[in-house]
Amino acid sequence: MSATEAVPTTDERERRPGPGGPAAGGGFAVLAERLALPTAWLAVIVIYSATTPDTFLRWSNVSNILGSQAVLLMLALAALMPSLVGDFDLSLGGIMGLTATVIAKLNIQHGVDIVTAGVAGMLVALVAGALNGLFVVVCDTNALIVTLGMGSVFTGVIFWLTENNTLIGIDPALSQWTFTTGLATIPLEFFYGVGVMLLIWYVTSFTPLGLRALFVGQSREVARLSGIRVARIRIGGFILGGFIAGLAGVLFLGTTGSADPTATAPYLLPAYAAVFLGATSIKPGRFNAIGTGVAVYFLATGVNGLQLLGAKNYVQQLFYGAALVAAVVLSRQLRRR
Amino acid sequence: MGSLTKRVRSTRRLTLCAITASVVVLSSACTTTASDSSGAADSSDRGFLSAEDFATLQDNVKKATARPSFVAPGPPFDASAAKGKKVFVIPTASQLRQCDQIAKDVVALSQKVGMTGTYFQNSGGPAGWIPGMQQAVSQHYDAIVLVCGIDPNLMTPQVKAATQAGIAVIDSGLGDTSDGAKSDPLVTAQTNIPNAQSIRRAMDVAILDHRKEPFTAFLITSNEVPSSVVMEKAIRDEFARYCPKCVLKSTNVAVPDWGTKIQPAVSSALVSDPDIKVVVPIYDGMSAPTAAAIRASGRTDLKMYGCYGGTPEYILQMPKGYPMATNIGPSHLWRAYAVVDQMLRVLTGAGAVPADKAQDPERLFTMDNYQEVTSVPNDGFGAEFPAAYEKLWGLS
Repeated sequence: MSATEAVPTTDERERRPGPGGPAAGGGFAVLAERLALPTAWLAVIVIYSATTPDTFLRWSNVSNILGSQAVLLMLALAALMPSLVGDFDLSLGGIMGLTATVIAKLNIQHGVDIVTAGVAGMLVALVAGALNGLFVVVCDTNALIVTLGMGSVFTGVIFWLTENNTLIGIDPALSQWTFTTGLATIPLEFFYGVGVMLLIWYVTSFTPLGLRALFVGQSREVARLSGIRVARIRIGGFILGGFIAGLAGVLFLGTTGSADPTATAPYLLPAYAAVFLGATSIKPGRFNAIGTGVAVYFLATGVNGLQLLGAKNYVQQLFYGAALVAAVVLSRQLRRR
Repeated sequence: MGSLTKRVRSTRRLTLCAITASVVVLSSACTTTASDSSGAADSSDRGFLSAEDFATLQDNVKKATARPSFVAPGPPFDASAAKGKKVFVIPTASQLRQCDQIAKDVVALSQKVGMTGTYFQNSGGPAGWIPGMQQAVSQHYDAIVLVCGIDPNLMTPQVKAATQAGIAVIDSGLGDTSDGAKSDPLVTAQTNIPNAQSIRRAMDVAILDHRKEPFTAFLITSNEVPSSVVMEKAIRDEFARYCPKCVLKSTNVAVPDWGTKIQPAVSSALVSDPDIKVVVPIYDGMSAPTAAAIRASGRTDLKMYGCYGGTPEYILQMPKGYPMATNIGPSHLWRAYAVVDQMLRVLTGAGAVPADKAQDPERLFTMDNYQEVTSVPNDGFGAEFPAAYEKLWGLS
């Protein structure tokens, strides 16, 4: 199964020639579909502002929502990379954890300065992504199975390096560069995430590379017949996914100041939830960076409001799951119109 | 002219006397205050605490922060009868640093008395423990040690299979010493630990630090871990006793979600209730994401209390800006000695120590004594207990 099979395929209206783009061609319904998620986000904000007026719109809470989800945003963007070209990578949580572990191990236990340790960690992330690309694309095997296996391998390496223990005491400079320093009290890591999101959005929307990736994601055969080097694009997706997952590991390490060998794996499912939810918006039927970012913060806002209202944790789980299912079903129905 | 000079001199003397008298009065007042603080604190210093409660809490904290001394858990016995036997050691989750180290220490100590020890690495939960239980049964071990409160009821068939095969199952940290002497019938013997008492001492520090006026505390629990439930109850009891007007709010975060859910939950709590003065992650393994949320709030007055675990790596972060005010827990080596002592008593027929008897102490670390984690041997617990145990076992 490829990633494109799991979500609606390209909206026909997107491909219509002529000025004005899809909105001009599809009219109000298309615009409504594009803006459904941002509108839902806005609705959630309005509802929570009304129900918890003293706290929800307070700047400290806005800062909390934006800052506390930066790691998830980065990992969701990592998951977006292979998804864009029609692949899955279930090892991204492992790559994120492996990067954090390598950096922590070098810095805490071997006294390597944080910058050198960070570079080493990111190199490991690149190699991990490249290995995924090698096994899936070059060896022509199922991405789900291979990356699931590689995720287990990375987790095993994490346990081996940490001896199953949490590594504590990372150089505080990393926390300063990512989490404890902020702009308008919003941690810097939020802006790093937004920067990566905008970069992906630009490349996928306005460059030939982005167009080629889109073709590969929609139909590998058509892309191949069009002269696009499909294998190279797909491997690139895995490598970039690994690299951005490594960045998520760096942010995680800066945020918590420690490397817990089991803490990063649970990020994977919410990250993919955001990627799929994002594919129902902005460019419906297509994985896209802005949609992914909006999805991350739609979910975060929903959960935050529930927390402020004193809801139990299981209600948050219900919200996460229901939002994802509703969005995908709704998108599917809209596409069938 | 002469009378004018006299009047001036008289006025100067009067002024001098008045100043001197004022200084004496102020000095005596200061002396009185100092005297009071060395004895019974005045009511402004005690805040909402009564004089008796204030003294009790101070005494509790003083005793809990002091270096513990060894108390023999039972009569001496000959451990050499266990020589040649095999023990299989399963920690509750290998990624929990203290639990993992206790398990490894149990293996090392078993080898010291001539036994064969096997450490079983796992990631926690029945899925992690059951393969270990089956391995121990199939390979005919003599004892299985479950470390850090593994609930035997979560793998009843495997525990029954082990005991029916004649394997002694020793569960370390299964219950709390405050539970009484009742033991779980599934296991051969257990060593309970004073979790409730420990977390009470950490709360005593929180109450003393914030005694000016009743405050709100925010607890983070993991209710699927039995000791978490015990400790939450103890916290509520301690607040009900010493600060009934304090407000306790809480959130429950499952262990696998610590990395992803604690930080946003604490952040939201701090936003929704700026009156929160104390944050209580029950375990020190929860402290990293909690500290991240506290830092993100920008509030420098907020500290973490509770933090059960006694993990030296966390304690050593306290002077480096880590917002942890207390950490309380055992020495992994002492706990391992206590578990091995219980195991050896069972294997040699000396008779198990009752479950309600505290077998190893826990120590409270604050900013006043954190440095003893490194300056005093065995993470601040001293060098006395290893020799004392080995003497008890007839090894020296």
